[in-house]
Amino acid sequence: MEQWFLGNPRDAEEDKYERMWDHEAYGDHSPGEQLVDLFLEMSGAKPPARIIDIGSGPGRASIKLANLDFNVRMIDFTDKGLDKTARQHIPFNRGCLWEEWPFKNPPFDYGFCCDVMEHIPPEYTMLTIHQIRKHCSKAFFHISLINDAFGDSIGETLHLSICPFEWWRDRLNGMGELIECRDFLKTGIYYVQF
Amino acid sequence: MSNSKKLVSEKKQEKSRGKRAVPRKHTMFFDEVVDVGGMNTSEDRIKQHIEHNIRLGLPQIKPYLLNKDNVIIAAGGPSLESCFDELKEQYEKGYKVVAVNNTHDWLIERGINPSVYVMLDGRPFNSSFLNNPIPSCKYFLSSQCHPDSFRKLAGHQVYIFHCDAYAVEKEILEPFYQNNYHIIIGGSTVVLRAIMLMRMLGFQYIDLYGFDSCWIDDKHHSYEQKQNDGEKTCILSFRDYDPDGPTFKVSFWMGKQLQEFQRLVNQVGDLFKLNVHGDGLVAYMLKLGAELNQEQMEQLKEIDDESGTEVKESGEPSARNSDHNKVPQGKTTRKARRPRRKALESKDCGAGARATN
Repeated sequence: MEQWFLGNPRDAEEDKYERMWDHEAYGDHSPGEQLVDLFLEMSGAKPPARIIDIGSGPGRASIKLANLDFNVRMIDFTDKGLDKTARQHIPFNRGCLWEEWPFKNPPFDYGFCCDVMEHIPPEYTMLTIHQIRKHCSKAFFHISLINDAFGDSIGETLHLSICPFEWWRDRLNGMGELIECRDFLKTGIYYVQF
Repeated sequence: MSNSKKLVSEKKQEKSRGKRAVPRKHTMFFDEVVDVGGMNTSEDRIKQHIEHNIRLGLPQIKPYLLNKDNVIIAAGGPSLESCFDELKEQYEKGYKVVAVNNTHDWLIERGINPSVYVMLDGRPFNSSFLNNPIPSCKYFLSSQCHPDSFRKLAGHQVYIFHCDAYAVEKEILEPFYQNNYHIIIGGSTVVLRAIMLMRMLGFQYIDLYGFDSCWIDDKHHSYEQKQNDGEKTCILSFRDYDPDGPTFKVSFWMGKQLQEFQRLVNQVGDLFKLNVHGDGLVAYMLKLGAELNQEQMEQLKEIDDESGTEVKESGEPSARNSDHNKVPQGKTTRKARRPRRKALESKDCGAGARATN
């Protein structure tokens, strides 16, 4: 069927982030690295556990985890914002988070998903969690509950799925077993077992 | 990863990071309002409650922009009953109703469904106020409330907020929430905190019913509440302001609430417009622009040490524990400042508090 009416949303999102990573300041704002300690505290994860950094962005969280001797992999739409050190030393897979991931191995011990879910188009959020559930035994989520201003620089909206803390809590608890969650006012923290 | 060489991100290699100073929270204001009050639950028990309740995965109450809606806070004082028709009329006009403690069931029985319910007290008997929760109500419980209160609300819309009666709470909240939390200031009673809660949610036009801080016709509440029966009381009069005026029978906690309310209005009265309904002491003092003097404070102190009873977990009254109504350790009682007269005078318009009757 001739497809003249709509582009694939995946392509539109990839293009958006390719353009967004052209802005250096965007790479400065990546909270994943600062959340590694909280992830380790909540999960009790010990090296050499296998961790997938979901929506890895610049990969600085992966660098920190790798330095702690965890077995880390990254997956994201684009490697454009990837830090040079992460690019050289940590395996990266390019992929759409709500479509089939390119992994055939047994599930990762942990998924580390920071500053990602709020960027997913609403209609694909549960599909993304479904992929995470397939590939991770447990997952740590840090989700923004408010809007974001970075997209203004390219005339786009980045935070597409802005939902209350309890909305994510209830949905993650429906997809797995919520072990712990904390409302940080502007963001929510969720640790789930699948 | 080899131990011999750690990875360093490109960003870190390019820039050197300085330590960013974290601004200190201004605590003077909290001390000004709160240190008059005391706690009826021990510090250890409060800590246990907080440690348990913050792990329930509840959303915190967050600030909202100002709105122009009207909200009613229905406290349980005796004038709630006498002013009920007025309250109902405002409810039917669309005013949102906030219930506290036992006014929840009292209002529902009379055809008023509260939009919000607030609970502050950490004592276990307070969970008995929550036997009939309704789906349309949002329940705001302090993290120091007894866990039974939270259990009774399973499946309902529950939100958590935090107070700072003991400094130790910050030791628990700061690492858990990584500083992402708010303290709701106010006094030692739920109405005072409810006022500040509503203001944080953006409500500045607040009508208070049943906020009496006195006994009326030998009643301390509009409904039966055995926990307060048999309290020691004293009689207060304000002849300096009103030579032929009435006298008021007051329990210690009522006088304390009154003083804390005065302080609250002095400190932050410009943040909201309060209307206090009924013939209680609060409304009377607002009309006069009066304040409690040293002699009256001494009268109240005399009825503090031996007054009242506290209900044990079994529901039977027992002797009040020594922590009741005491100023928390480490804080000193400050001499009451002379309030700004402007904030306490009756006004037809403008910020502050006024009496309506």
